[in-house]
Amino acid sequence: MPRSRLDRPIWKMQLRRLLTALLNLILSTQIFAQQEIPSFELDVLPLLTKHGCNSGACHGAAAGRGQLFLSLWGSDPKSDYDQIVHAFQSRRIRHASPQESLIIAKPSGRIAHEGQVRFDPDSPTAIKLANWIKAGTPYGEPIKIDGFRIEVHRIDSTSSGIAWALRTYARINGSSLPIEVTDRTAWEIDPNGSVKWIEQHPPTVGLERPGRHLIAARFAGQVQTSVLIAPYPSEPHSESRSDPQRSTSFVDVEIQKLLDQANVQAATLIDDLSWLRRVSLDLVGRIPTIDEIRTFEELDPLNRKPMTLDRLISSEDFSRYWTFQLARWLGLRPIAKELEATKAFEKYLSDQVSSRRSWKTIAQELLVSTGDSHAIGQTNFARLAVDPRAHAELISRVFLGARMQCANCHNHPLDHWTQDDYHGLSAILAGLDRGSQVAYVGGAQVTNLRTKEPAIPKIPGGGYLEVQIDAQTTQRNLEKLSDWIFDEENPRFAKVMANRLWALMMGRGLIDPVDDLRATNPASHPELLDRLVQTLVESDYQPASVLKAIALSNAYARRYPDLQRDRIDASFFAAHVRKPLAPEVLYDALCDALGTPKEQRAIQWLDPTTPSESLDILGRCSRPTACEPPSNLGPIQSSLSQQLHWINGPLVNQAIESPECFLHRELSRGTSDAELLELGCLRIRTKHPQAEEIQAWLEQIPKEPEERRAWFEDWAWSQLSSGRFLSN
Amino acid sequence: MQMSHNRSSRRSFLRIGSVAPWACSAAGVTVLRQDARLDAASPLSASHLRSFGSAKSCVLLWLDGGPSHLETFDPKKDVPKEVQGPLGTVATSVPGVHFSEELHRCAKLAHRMTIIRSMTSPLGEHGLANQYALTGYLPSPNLQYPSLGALTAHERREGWTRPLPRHIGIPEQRTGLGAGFLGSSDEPFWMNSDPASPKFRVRDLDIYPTLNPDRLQRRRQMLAQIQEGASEVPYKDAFELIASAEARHVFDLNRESDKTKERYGLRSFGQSCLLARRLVEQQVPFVTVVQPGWDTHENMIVPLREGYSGAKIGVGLIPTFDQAVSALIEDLSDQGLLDQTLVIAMGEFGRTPKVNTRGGRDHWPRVYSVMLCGGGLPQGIVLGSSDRIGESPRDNPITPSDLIRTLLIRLGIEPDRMLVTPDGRPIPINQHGKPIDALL
Repeated sequence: MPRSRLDRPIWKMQLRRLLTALLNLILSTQIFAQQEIPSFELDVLPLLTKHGCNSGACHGAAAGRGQLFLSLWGSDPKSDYDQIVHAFQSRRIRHASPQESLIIAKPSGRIAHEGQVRFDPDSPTAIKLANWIKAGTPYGEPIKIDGFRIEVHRIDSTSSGIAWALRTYARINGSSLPIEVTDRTAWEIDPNGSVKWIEQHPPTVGLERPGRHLIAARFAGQVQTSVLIAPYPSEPHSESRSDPQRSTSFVDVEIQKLLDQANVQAATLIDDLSWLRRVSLDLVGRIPTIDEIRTFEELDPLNRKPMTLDRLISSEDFSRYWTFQLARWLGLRPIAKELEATKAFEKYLSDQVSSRRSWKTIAQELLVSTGDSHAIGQTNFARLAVDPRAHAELISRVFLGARMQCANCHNHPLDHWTQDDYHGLSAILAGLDRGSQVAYVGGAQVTNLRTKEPAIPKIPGGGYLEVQIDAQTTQRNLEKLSDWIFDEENPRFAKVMANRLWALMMGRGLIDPVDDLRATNPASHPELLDRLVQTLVESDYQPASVLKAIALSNAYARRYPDLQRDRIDASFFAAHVRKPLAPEVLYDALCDALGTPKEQRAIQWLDPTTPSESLDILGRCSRPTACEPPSNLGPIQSSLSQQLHWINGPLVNQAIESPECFLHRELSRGTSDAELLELGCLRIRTKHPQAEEIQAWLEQIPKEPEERRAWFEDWAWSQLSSGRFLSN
Repeated sequence: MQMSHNRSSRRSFLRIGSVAPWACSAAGVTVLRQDARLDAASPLSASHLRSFGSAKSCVLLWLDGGPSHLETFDPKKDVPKEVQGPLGTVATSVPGVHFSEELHRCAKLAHRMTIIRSMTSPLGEHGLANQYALTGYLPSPNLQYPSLGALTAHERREGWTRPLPRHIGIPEQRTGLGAGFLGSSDEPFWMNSDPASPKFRVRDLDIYPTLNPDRLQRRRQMLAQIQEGASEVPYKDAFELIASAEARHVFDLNRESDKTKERYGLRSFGQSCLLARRLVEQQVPFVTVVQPGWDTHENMIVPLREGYSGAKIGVGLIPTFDQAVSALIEDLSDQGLLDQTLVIAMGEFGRTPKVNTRGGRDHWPRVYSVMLCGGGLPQGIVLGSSDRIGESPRDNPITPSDLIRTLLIRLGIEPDRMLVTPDGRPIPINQHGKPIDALL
């Protein structure tokens, strides 16, 4: 993907530009000039896209607009031609007086147009359209595009900041060299208003704010993106740019590249005890115990981090927590009120994670298994969906990280998924009987909403498959689907998985949101994602490999952003995104911190509908969807019921008052105030209190035993309600 | 009253005008925000504008489980016994319109109500159907849409300065009523306590028994001292609600006379409706009252009419509903609040036209009924009808999405306004609904 061309010498750039211009002159005379008569696909349709006529908000909507039905972004040129030239009793075209044709008169404002004026009556667009009509509305040759790309040229700083010239190139109908198609390209720029048009011809934009900005270009059904980086101003008093702890981990190298480009100073690193807390919560879903803290502090500071990681990764807690995370990813919930099926599914997941099986193998089994769902746990994945369409959406979310549901009613507006892809995938999955006995069947159909006919089985973005007349054909098609999803050459599942693991550790995906992989949503650090994918594939899809690489990086060990000061885009990972604890993890952390253990840990309740009032109040995700933690919510932005429950409910208060709570054990043992404050801080917040903090507290503690007990209870509540306890 | 309607309409008009929903982007530039999934929908017509915002508050009576249309607002006469079911009919105050005989109090108020008898949906499973009914969106496995109540809470956020929450649920949480992608601050605030119980308390509103206001204050101060990087006072809303005398007052049903309590009925649903009226008096924008138990697959006469086997006086769902709802409508009317309070009674679907072999009716979404009242709606009309045996809509089929769009307009919420999901996806408040002209 092209980035800024900052690093290239100017003369080289200019030479290149000159050459490209020359080439273009030659080629465009060949391709464009030879057809003095405009063609529909090459000349007319790009104009409609450019002026937004076929956008989803206008005539590109599934229901069209004002009786004119255009395909979204011109994805179906033949149908669009038909709509413009033939439909509506051909009244959209007037050969006798082209300017009065509806397709010119309405968007140029000569006749009232609900979508307002799109271009002037004497604009190049209007003239081009008129010429096309004069020529008899020829369709011309159908075109085939490949190698569509954007080139971005940075122009010297102007008074209003830096300007960027945008150009697009594509190979048309197999031409050997790319041809400039800038004047036929439609642009999409960041919706938040930070990218501004300076000029339309040639397209030139300026960046109003420092940071990372995305632009997308559309041409003939293709879409490409490019990232523009505007550096942040240097802070006069900032520390030196060279990080004394600069690390050689590939994670840090890639993160640093973008930080340097944008002139961003990363947040400083957290201390090792804070790292221990962060990594314990992220790897095993619990806070460190007092013993773990003490052991950690006694280890050699130079290698205690890798040692701790190895210990955590080989622990039973790791298996438990990643079974929980896998269940959440899949969206596990009770299967059709069949307890045996749900239990079998849970046992399957837990066994696989505990025996450290490859997650690729797990995923493959989830996709194609058949048999008795009460005995063969993996068959229940198919049963999470109520019908083939829901199953197609589930598979695209879980395994492809794609939101294919848009393509139910129309081709995906931002990606390459078509309605035929969506209904073709559903058609494959229609061949599964989702009853207690999961089985392949033949003859089941779904309707393609575009053609209104039975959908033909199809690999998304790929070829059509055989019609599923019997169980064998269905099985063959599902296996082909599996081969495509887990293709070694294009490991899209590895990409989804690596990105999710990153998001769980870092609070935000490299591709964000994590289930929205598409052409117009590129990764913030594409090379880093590739490296993570490579790490994952080389370890045979063991999550631990990626988790470890992340946990040992400096990028993972940064402080939270200072809300007053740091307004750096979170996608730079210059500071650690604050992650609220999942309700289950929070519940376990509360018990662990106070020493009030429960028989079973909350993360062992894989079925999110297991009754628990407190977990429900804490916002447990019991929906039939994989819940992603909302990334930027602070611990305090919880619902009113949650806040009241934390303040007045039994969950925290009972635990604090319980005789098993460490406070009361220590108080009856005669522990001194200072010792107890130190212990409490370590247990609850994994932190040594500072001497002046202890001093300030000591002055407040009442002497009278009952008063003293109450004071410590209140103090413990405040520790438990702090951001440090409630988030990670 | 009339004055305030006019004012509200004018203001609404200005707001809509400034939004200019069809303003596509500047020439040559297409902005990402124009989400391609935006469906075609017509801008508000003049009559819709007059109706816009006529309802200040809304009480949703959620009949959880799917009430039988044939035993409530769409009973059939002169049909085979297995269609008619066990209950007879009663004439209402609207000539020619009959309700189930167990709704005899409501029947006297029919001239104030709107009954829709042609609701229709394709979804016959509780969890999916209630989402459709309450959000106006067909459920998606990948995005949870906000319910009408959450939308109202969200859109009335500005200018709400009272300590009371904007969206209150009585008594206990039910699925489908939540805020979906809007997030926790628009979730209903559930009482989680039964207003009919002498021990009725809003859950966790009272200070924990072993604590006192001084200790709570100390906790708050200690937290403020250690809270790193907090942009606002931790737990501000909660501490303010706990301290609010107004909240304590409004939730205290003992401030109502025994006579009033009895008028609503002393069972959970009746007292919940009474609490809803107290909340509406305090201008709370949206109150949901849940009446569970309408999923009557077997021997339905017991849950529907009797309440328990062998009851002499029926205390089942329908008599309880009849008493509470007639009291609520009359009471709101007496207080002068009915014109600005939209009352909705509905569930997720109807029940099968034929009584099954176990004396019950099963799920039937193809046609069912909804009762609406107040909030400026037309009065004394029956909209749409079902066929002879209550199997399909005969005319005027209305989808949950159509109904939600209509109610949104009455509540002064622009249905085409875009919401943004936490991950930045723009979603219109209502997408596929067509406004019901007869109600606007």
